[in-house]
Amino acid sequence: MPAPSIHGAVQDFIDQLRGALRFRWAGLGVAWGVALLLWIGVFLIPDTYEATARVFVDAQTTLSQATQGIGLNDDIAGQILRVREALLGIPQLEKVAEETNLFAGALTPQAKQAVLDGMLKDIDITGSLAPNHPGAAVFTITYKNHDRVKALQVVDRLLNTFVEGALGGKRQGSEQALKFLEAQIADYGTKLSDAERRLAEFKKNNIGLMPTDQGDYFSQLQQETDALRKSRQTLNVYQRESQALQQQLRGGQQYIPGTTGVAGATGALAPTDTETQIEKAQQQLDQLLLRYTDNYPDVIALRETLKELKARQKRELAAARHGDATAAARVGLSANPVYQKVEEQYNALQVAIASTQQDIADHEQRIASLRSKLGSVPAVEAQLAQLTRNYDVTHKQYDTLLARLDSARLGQQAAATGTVKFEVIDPPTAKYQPVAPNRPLLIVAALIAAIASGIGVAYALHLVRPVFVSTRQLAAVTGLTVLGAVGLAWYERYQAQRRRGSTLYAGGAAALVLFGVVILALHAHLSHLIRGPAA
Amino acid sequence: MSLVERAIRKLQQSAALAEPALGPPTEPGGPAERAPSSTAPHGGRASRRASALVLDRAALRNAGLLPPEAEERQLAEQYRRIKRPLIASAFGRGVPAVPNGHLIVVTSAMAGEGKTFTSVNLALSLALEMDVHTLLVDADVAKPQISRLLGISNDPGLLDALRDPEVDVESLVQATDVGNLQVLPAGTASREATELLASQRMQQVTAALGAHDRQRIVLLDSSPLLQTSESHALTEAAGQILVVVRAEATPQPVLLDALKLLEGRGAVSLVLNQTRKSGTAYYYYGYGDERAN
Repeated sequence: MPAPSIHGAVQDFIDQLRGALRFRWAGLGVAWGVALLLWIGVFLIPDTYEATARVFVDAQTTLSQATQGIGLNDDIAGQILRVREALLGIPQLEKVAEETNLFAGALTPQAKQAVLDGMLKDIDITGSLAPNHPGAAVFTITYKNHDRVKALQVVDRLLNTFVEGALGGKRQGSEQALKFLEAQIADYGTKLSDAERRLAEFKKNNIGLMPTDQGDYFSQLQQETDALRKSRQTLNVYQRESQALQQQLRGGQQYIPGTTGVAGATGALAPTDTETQIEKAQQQLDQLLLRYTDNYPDVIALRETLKELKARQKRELAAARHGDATAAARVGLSANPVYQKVEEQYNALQVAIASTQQDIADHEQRIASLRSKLGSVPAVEAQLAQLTRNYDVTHKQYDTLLARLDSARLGQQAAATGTVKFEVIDPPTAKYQPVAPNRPLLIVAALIAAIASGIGVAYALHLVRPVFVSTRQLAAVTGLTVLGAVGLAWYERYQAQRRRGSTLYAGGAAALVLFGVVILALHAHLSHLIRGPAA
Repeated sequence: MSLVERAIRKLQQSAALAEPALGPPTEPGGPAERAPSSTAPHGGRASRRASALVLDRAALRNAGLLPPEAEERQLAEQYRRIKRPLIASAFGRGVPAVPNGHLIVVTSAMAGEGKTFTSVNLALSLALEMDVHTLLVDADVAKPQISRLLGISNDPGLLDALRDPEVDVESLVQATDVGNLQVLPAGTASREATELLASQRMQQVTAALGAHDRQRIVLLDSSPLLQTSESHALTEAAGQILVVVRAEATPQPVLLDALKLLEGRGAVSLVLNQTRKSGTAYYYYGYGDERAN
């Protein structure tokens, strides 16, 4: 046995080839079958269309510089990454799926989940930093689907969600912050008004003890006590004066024979006053008596009248004594000016005394009430202080919150007015040509696969039914001596036969390849025929 | 000059010595023509045939047992290589002699592998040897192709000798127009062929055949190993067994099964038949290459 060598290995390989060639017809048949099956499969694969959209995101606007300090202009790229992740989150996908009716036909939760998983697989969002714009990026959203229109819809929705999401990714955050702030402010507003109300009520309830302009409790008490003392003193003075005056009045004469001046002073007393009338009557009587007697009727009448007048005078005097100025004036007395003056003083004094007494009473009352609250005043004052402090603090917090809300609102407006600038470079578009499957490639691949499988089958058959093709092999397999090899006689006849067979075989193989070429050339038409027109 | 032409010339020379004249060229009807003479009767010691069997090479070619003239040279070379070790083992030339090595059975695993072709051509090749006498025995008693093609299928042959112990097998041997080549027909068909071949009479017959001529090589064309039992019996008698394997056709496991049957028998060697021409490398591998030619 010759030693193993490269030549031997090559010979082995050639032997194997020749062995496989025995089944070349079977291989050809298999190649044809596999090719036809695969080609049919290629045309059965549904077309996949791809829709894309590109959007340019720029974070470096002038406004962003202005709003730098507000803390809004943080890492835009990171934010957009987060947005992308959020965009591919389940809620977003669900929303997009419902809006584009991708859930049609999916009834169970598992089916819906399968739709979402498919979307995740088919959606592709990539971003790259724009070369000439620092801080800017270009984002590409693509989606594949068998339905071209649907692909466009999905990309459109995703684009919207992307823009909204990127903007509102911060805006949502700031909106939430705003809402939070507003809620806090409302809360504090309530607290503030509560505190105010409590303070006011407290003040109202403890009005006597409120530290007013007059000072706090103790100074108030002091004030009242002083005032009381003063009033008492004044009262004393008045009372002494009053006593003195009283004495004067008692001793003095209220009326003196009236002087015309006084009468005149007491008013326009007409000759109807009693004194004058009596005089007149007396004069008339005297005159009548001169002429007539006492039995004369006029004299009797006149004496009656005189009697009446004198009775009246008496009455009026009596009344005058009691102070009736008019009676006094009728009677014909006029007030004593001195007496009157004193009387005036006395009256005024009484009035003053009355008012001072009233003052005293007031002061006493106030002092009493102050004193009664002596125990609770410090507590009240302390509580007041606390309520006031409470109110102040609440007020301060409220003010702070208001200031923050203002600041946040400003920031949000900044965002809305374009800290992040979006520009859609390519609106959602989808080619009418499907991106997959690459039919020409698949057709060629199918042909190659068919040929390979044909070869494979032939070789496998050879392996399954091995024969001897060389003496070397024969010796190796049997372990016996091989005396030699005898060539096939009638070689020309054999060759002719072989040639006929080979021609046929070559024809069959060439037909396969030719068929493949034809299918390749007409793949568009065939696709149209089998699949129908593209959507 | 072709092999057969040379053989014919030799025959003519020998016939010229033995016989007054040979008959005219063969008439169509059979590949072999019997020169006018009577056949030897059965029974007793028959005299040697006076006439020789004429091999019609054209008919043999038609039957596919001889290569076309264009390929004769090549085939002759191939068989020259093959026969050398057989002869050496038969007569112990350079290698230890194999017991009964002069009895060579040509068989194969299955039918159609080229046993008969190999037998005929090997026989003709052996006939060219200077000091070897070749006896081709048609022992494919189930399908005695050689006997038929040579027109001697009705002649008494091996089976007859086996059946009747009285018959001298040597008397049934027929000479051919090829010098050094004799033929023994298969004989009358028999249902007990296997038993006959396996019997002790077979051993006597083969011994007689061998003893008759020390320079004789007996080439037995057998039936396929896996398809008949006669071949099995035959291989018991032989000293050398030549298994013909058809290239690119005989399945390996089949051959290995057949070889299993030969375990314990004589010296088994193989010949790869019907190899396709694909470079000369094929012909330089194998047993013959190792031995310095």
